[in-house]
Amino acid sequence: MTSETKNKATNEMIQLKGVTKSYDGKITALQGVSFSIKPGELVSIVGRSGAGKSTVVRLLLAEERASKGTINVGGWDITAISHRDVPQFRRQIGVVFQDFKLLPRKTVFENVAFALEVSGEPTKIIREVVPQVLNLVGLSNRLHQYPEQLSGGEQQRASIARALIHRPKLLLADEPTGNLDSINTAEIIDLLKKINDLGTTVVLVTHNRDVVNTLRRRVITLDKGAVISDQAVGRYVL
Amino acid sequence: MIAATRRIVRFALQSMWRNLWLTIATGATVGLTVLSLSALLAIHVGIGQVVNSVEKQLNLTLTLYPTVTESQANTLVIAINALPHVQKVTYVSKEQVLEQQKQSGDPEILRSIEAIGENPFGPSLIVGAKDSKAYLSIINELQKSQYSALIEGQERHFEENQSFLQNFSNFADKVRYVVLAMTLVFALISALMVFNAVRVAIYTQREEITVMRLVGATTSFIRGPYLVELFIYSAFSVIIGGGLFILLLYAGQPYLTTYFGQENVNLLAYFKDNALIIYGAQFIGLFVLSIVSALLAVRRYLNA
Repeated sequence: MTSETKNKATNEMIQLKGVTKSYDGKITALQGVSFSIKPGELVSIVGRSGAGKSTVVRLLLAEERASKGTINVGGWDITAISHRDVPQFRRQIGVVFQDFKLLPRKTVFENVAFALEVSGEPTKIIREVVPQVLNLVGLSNRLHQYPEQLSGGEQQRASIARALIHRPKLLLADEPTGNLDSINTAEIIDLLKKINDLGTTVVLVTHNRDVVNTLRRRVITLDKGAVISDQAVGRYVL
Repeated sequence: MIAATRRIVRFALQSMWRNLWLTIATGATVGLTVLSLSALLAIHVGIGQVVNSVEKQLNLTLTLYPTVTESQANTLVIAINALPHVQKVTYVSKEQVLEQQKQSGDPEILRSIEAIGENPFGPSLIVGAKDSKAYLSIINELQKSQYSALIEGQERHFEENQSFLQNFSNFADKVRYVVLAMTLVFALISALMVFNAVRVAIYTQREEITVMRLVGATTSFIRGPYLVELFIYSAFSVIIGGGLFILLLYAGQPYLTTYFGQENVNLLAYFKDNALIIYGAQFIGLFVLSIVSALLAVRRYLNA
């Protein structure tokens, strides 16, 4: 970890300052976006398709670099992060995707354990912790099943378990309910709220109006690559 | 470090087992490559051995004048032996030549010998060279005037020999070049097959590479299992493909011996004597090639 990329002095969990992202200098996905999220918050980032939500997620994961501006996540200046530091940075945030992104040829246990194995956790610890987290998400009876043997809701819970396994300070959920029915959606949102109650900052990127309105938490609304509203207790206004 | 290595090896074995069909397909492709390379090498070596055996059977017979004494002939033998590429010079005395002619049973020759009443033949020298090209340089040397008083029919015979040897030498060279070119072309095709097999194997796992990256796996942790898998593929392919080819040679060598003779073409002995070098080189070549293919393929998905 380099001193240039890690700055523990910041009080914000996430801080975007004047972030612009353009592709080939022609298509502008984000234009001067600034917002910050404090530790322990549960924030929804909403917007129509093409509003820039996915770009924000990719930038927060250091999958892409901002064209202009600075981004700090958990004390890391990820606009200046080196390729070498990216894996270590990603181990400190949990990510949940719409399509679950589970490893198809690993069991639920192995999928969750993998996130610890890559960071060199001892096997003994992994064997203790993984069943606990899977129990927390209600998958204690699915340890040795493969993802294809699980329902969509169960796959998403396994994905959340993997995101939580290294106790991240930040959980980034990118359309986590996009592939789920209403019952599973409600369960997953409840789970995210519980995780937030335990102190983890949760950023929920969604275009699901009902989810956002039910949560009654902070809502940042993006439109055409810009922040058009940031409400402490917001609703889906688009 | 040890724990990470153990995990990488475990992931590799697990992936091979759980992608069994892909493992079989990739392994079979690499194994067939080993078999093809061995067959190409066998053809290359076999044809080389055939050409060499024909070359070995070539010799240059120098007929000396009947007046040449044994002492003069010995001096010539020493001079020829000193030439480069000369393998062996056999002296045949005039008495031996006479005996050989008598034994040939040609009635005309027998009548001529009887009519003359004395030995009309001079001694001869049989010169063996290392390869067909060497005869040409030997002939050039023997055409010098210092030998003209010793070697009978020097100019005429040498021209005939020179022409035959030149043609044979050109033919042998062409055969070698064609076989070498074929070997290189097929080796290139084999390399492309391995390259493609590895890339396809990794392509099928591109989503998994992306996921591994997103959960914080380092590049070396992602690449590691592929390198272990490729090591296993290369080792097993060489052991199985190479072993199978040696077995085929055990079955085929008797037929080769029947056609060409044990001393002339013995591929089994060649492969047994050089097994370590041949299969060691194939293993290293395959492993390096597949690593390069894998690193290129994985890099693409790591950057995706």
